[in-house]
Amino acid sequence: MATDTRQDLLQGTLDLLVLKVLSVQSSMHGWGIAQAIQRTSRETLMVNQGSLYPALHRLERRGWLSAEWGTSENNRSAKYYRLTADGRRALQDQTADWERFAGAVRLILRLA
Amino acid sequence: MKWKRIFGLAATDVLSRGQRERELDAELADHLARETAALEQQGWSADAARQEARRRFGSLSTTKDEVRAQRFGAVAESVVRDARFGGRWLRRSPGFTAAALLTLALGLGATTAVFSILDTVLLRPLPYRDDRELVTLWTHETRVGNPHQLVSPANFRDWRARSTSIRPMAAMSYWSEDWQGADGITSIDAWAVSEDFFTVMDRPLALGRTFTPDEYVTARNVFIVTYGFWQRQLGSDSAAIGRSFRTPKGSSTLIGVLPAGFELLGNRDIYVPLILPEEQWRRRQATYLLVAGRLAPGATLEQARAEAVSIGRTLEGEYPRENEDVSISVTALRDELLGDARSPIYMLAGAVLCLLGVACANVANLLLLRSLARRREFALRSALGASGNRLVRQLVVESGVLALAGGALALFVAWGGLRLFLALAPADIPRLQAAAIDGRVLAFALAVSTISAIICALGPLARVLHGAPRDALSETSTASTGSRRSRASQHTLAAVQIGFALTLIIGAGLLVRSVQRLLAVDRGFDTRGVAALTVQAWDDYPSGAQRIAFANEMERRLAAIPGVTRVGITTALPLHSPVGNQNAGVVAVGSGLTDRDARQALAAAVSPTYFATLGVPLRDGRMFTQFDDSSSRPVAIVNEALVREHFAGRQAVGERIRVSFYGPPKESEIVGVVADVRHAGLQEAPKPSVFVPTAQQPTGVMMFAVKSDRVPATLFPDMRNVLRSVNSGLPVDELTTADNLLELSTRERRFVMTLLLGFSALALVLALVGTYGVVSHSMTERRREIAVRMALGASHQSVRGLVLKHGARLALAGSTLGILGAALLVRLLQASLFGISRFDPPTYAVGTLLVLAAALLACIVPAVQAVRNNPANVLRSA
Repeated sequence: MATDTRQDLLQGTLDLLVLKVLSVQSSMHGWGIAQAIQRTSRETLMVNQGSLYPALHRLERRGWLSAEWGTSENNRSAKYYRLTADGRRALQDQTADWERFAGAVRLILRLA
Repeated sequence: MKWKRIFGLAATDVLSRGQRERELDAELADHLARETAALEQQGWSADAARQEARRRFGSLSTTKDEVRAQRFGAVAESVVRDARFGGRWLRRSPGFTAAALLTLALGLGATTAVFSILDTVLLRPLPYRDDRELVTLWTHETRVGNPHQLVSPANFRDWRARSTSIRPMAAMSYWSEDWQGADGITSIDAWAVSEDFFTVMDRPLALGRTFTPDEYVTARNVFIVTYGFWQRQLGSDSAAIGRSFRTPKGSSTLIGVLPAGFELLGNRDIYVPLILPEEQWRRRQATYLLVAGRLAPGATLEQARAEAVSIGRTLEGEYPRENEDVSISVTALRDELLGDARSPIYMLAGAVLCLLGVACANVANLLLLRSLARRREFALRSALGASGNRLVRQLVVESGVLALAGGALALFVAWGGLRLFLALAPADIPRLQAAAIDGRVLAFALAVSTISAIICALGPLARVLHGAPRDALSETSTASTGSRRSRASQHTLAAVQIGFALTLIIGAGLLVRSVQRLLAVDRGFDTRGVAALTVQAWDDYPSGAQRIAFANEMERRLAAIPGVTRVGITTALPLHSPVGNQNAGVVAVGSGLTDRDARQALAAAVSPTYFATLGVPLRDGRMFTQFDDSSSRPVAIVNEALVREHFAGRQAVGERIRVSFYGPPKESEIVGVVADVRHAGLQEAPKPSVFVPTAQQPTGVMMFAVKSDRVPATLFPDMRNVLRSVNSGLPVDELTTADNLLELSTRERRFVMTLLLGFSALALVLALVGTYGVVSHSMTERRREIAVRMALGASHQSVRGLVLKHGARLALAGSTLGILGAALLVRLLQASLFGISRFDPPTYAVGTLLVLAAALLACIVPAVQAVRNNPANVLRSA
């Protein structure tokens, strides 16, 4: 495990990533979202399913995501999430916050 | 619109919990299926892929828990789940549940009942408008130092006319009214109230109207009843207003019903107008009115007091003879009504808290024992990821379920207990009969149940929070001893129960011994077969000669009642209410002292046969005779206490004393000495007393004591008839028996004693059960140790001794606590103790022995069981 470069997500960043993924792909189920995050980060970011689903339900509760039930390829019922207008606004705010935060950390790493 | 959505979701959460659970399952199943499929594509076999997918996902149930936690009402929902789980768990162990519920029901029920009494009697405002403005006024006999004498009509009229700070002011008087019921004539105690009475109290009637000014002048033919009387006797019939009721003197019309809760001192249900003949209104020395008033707007109690003193002084100047040394005292009605009721009620509250303490300790112990039995369950849940918070919440919710169920049962106990209290309670605790289980009491019961739930859960909680799950899991049944910590807390709880129980037992024991001593005390007179009729003959017979003639006629006719053996007349019966006590200044002639130095003695004017009627023995000299009348020289009889005080025990017969009794000092010769009588109450040492012949001091108050071989109360109708035949217009002031006076004088003490005995018995039983639980559990835990001992040759006796020693240790620790508690708490009882110290060693010793015996009794079953097991089986079974 010492050489494992895969990262657990920072607290609070999972919401941002979920919103971002759904802003690119219009409708997606939970597994797909997890895969998208892992793939896009080139397997660096591991999504813990134990926090993914609570996060999805939380975002749905806040009205940033809407969900609908559909049928998957092999005829199981599957839940598909979609970004709402509120969610899109929240994504902009949170992205800006994140940029500011990451910029600040970079500055410190460079200077201090 | 956003809110609409949130409400929509909340509603969905609440309404379709099952639906949402199914959806969550489906969503997670979909996830696992996709993961599995993906793995299979990477070349995993179907089985391995499924397992790997599960592994990567982690704990499904934790995830579900966390998703559920996102929902609205998530906490409430999980509490409901815990409560359901708790309920199931309680149903699965009926023995435990029954014991815990019963204990809680008893403890909480008794507490609730006592609270409802405390609330009704002490905490609530009186049922009159602005009860803090209400005051009572009394004649203050400054020379005698008695600030609580009733008031004479003339003084009342003057006070009322002159006071500016107390306005309005009203008077009321006891009145006995005959009532024609379905089963003959019964006598009903009534209040006769003066004009402003209903203005003073100021509460609208429930039905009808109050008396008109006219009705205070004309004949007494209208009346008002209390709400309780209207409910009980008149069937809550509103048509009863305006109905006429037959009385022996004619008919009387019901015109009003008082509001509920209006009851004053005593259970008097009927109110009639106070009508006195004009001549009576001029009387200044016949004191028989209770006076109440309301502070005028802006006036304070202090101002009213100062004004009363100055009015008293003015009246004393105007009527130097009648009002000599007479002032006015003013007290708040609230203090007047509740003053004496406080101490027994506080005592009850203290006792019931002890009982509640025993009950809570008992239930806490039961829960602790259960939590030990469940430690593997908790350890497992904790190892499977249940957070500390979840387990704590579960425990609190479970004990909450228990406490609420117990609280619900407790309401029944409280209801029954309250009935019992009310049946036992002395009638002179004001408003007590109005105590009931109502909203406030329910709220209190709920609060106490909740607090008890928290207290009860503390023990098991501490265990869950401190116990490392691994220890509990690895702790198998082969361990030979239980955990030291848990045993220590069980033992502490058992000892605390024993301690509380002992505190109660000692309190009850001290009261029992006090009452015993009180009843065994030499009263100095014989109550058996004595009935007494009191009249106030002041206005009907203004002159001394008329009063003597009236008294003689009454005596003659009373003596003619079949079965009557003796009739005596006095102005004050022993143990009669303190209002009837009269005092006189006494100074021995030749002692060199002047009348200013006179010392107070109880005084009464009595007939020649009075002492024989009450069985008071003569110690020296002679009794009064019919020849000691107004034409002969003044004589007096004194008691032994007076001889001790004034004559240092010397021969007193033949000595002369100056007695100031109803008038200027009169020199009298002592002709006899009688034995001491406990006049003012059984607990009070006999006071110096002086008696003068009725014929030489004819006052208006006359108590006719009638001794017969019949049951005294059966004489009442005959005595009433005698009075009616002598003077049909003279009302009965009071009709009672000497036994009744005796009973009343100890009633409050016996009431508290009975309740304390009841509480002690309950507490002892609970403590016994609690001790049994702890000892038997601890023996179960130690069964391997015992088996080893027995296998190594320990005798049955020594094993039994081990168990008993265990119980004895608990009992000794508990007794120490109990004795300490008693030493601190019986101070509350101090006022009720008689003839013993509050540290009375025999009481403490007997109480402690009782508790020790109970503890050993609790150990017998575990002791017998301990040796019954075959050691080989025990060792092999592990």
